[in-house]
Amino acid sequence: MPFGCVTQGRDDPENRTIPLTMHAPHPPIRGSLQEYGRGIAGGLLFSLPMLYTMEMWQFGFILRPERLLLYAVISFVLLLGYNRYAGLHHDASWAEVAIDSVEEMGIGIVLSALFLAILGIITLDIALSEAVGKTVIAGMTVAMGVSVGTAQLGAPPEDEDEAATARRRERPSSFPEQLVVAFIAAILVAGNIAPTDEIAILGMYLGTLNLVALVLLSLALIAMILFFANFTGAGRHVPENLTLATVLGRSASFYAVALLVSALMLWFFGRFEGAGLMQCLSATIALGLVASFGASAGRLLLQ
Amino acid sequence: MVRKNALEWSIFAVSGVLLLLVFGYLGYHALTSEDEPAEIEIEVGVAHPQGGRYILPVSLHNRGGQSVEDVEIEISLLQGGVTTETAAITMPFLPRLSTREGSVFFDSDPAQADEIETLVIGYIVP
Repeated sequence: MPFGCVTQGRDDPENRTIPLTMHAPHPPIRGSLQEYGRGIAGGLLFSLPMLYTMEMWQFGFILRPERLLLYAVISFVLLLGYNRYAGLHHDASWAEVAIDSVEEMGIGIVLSALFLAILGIITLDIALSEAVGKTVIAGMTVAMGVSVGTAQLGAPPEDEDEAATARRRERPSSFPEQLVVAFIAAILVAGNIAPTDEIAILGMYLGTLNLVALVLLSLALIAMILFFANFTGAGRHVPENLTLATVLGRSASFYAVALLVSALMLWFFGRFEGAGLMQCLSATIALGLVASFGASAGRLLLQ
Repeated sequence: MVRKNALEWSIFAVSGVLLLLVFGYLGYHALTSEDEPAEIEIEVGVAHPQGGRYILPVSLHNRGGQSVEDVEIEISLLQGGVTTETAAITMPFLPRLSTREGSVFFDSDPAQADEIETLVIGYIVP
């Protein structure tokens, strides 16, 4: 995860944080421990609700191994994307990003197994396949939380002045970057709700008027967070001459990400199996409100 | 150039091995385990008296490749070919290749019965 930065040429502000060169010393153990500490905090912050949710434990043995494998692979790809575009070290090479992602996933799996064992959900009496399933299902969210925690929960490096911090935070991001981070943020925020029976039940009972209200409310919240509420980090994504078309267009694209994430998660948890189109759509829109928060507010905080 | 201290390299190494194990295990299971239906077997333990009645432990084994919900089972005591007493329980979850345990109560001593009949009534596929 950490590979450290070194300060060179203190007089030249452009040179303050550059990747380590061949001559740099190894990063200190203390700094690494602090990063792992932040990672653990972030991992638990985002996944404790999930670790305490019954449906989540059940999916550990209900889902087929191939689907769990798919889940782990998709999570790893998302981790790579997040670490590349929004992680601790913006200028990291793909090798460093891959190493960080492996570490975060390892920490995620260990934390998940540890908590499930402490909570008595994983015991020595259950089958190995069940234990692995439960650990993997929760561990992937923990891993993403670890990555976010390492990158976002830390104080700026001591040798970085306020201007440099501001530059780092105001760093403009490309559309694919925003998309990847919005995707992960939506998963992190909606992931705690997606497996619950409540979403399936809402899918059964929501009427047309409720659904229309949910869609409008989701769009309004996204627009408010991205353009009007002066949210942390929102400024750098807002163009100079803001038109109504821009507001509507961008809000709609992020809502589309939220709906896509919702549908994917519900499909993954088998909520679409044997369900009619209206049931699938209603459940997706119900979860979509939660995912909208992830794609808007969550994304800004994660980036 | 990747630069890490010894602690970071060790955590990376342990994580890498752990990931290989988990991915390997899931991959192996995905390839070898077929999607065969649940195969439920009921195993009856030894009854002992409790509060004027008899408690009989039962174990439910799922030997199939599919996890199931709400498994309803019935245990009957037979005397000379005639059912004298019946008890039932519902197991909320019975994962694939797993065992779950429970108990049923009877008024008469199951040890005195000619035969103990076990029956799976049904289950739900999640």
